[in-house]
Amino acid sequence: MLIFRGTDWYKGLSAEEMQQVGDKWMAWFKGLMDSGKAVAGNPLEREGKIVGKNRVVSDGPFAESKETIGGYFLLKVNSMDEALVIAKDCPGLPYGIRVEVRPVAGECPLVEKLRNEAELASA
Amino acid sequence: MNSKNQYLLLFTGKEWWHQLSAEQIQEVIDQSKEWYGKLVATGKVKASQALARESATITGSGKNTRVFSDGPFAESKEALGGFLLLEAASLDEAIAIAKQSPSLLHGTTIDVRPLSDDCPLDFRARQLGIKGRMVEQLATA
Repeated sequence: MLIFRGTDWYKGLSAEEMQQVGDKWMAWFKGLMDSGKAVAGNPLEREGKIVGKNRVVSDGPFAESKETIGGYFLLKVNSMDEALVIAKDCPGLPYGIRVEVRPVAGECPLVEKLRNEAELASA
Repeated sequence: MNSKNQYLLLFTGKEWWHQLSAEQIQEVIDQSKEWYGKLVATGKVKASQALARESATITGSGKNTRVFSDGPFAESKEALGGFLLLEAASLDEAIAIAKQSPSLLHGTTIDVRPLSDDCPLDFRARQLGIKGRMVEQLATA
């Protein structure tokens, strides 16, 4: 999964830069979808809510921030290395976007923990 | 596909399951299966994934590209653990669904984010008075 973090990287862009980055991003995403390397991608609204302790709902701190998630891609590739190569092509990088690359888990970590404990116990 | 009816639930937390006994873990698994199973039965689940506990973060470009690799994460590291893409009639409904997740009892926080039809660049484009969409409607799975 590619997670695009930062909501301030495009603040200073001129109209021409906007168009260029937009075109490049579209071409990047289309290329990935066409080759089957990406299966999904979505931008996220700037608003949202956070459900936290005791199920309390609060407004997201979605003011300009380097960490706020602006969107994601879901990739289908054979290795972390391959995902990194793709991520490095992100057209927002020269402007300060941060791309977090996370492998999807093969199994739920709770199930993995139980399995590990069972293996240790029977070892 | 109308992105406006879709909401992304992002689960952030530590590896809280290490503090639990095997029986407690099994109980949470059962509760989660029940919650998730019911949700799947409603047809509202469009995608869901747990994420592995390692990451790489890329910044910069060209000669200034930096890759910061991390993992396996320390148990105490707050990190994005997974996501759920839901179809819901409103943000309130998506929040109501999120509130029932058993993971909340263990310190996980859930960001509930509506999907956008607009690329974030459109926000800046409007500030500049540029009409029209910057990026064509993105395809979704």
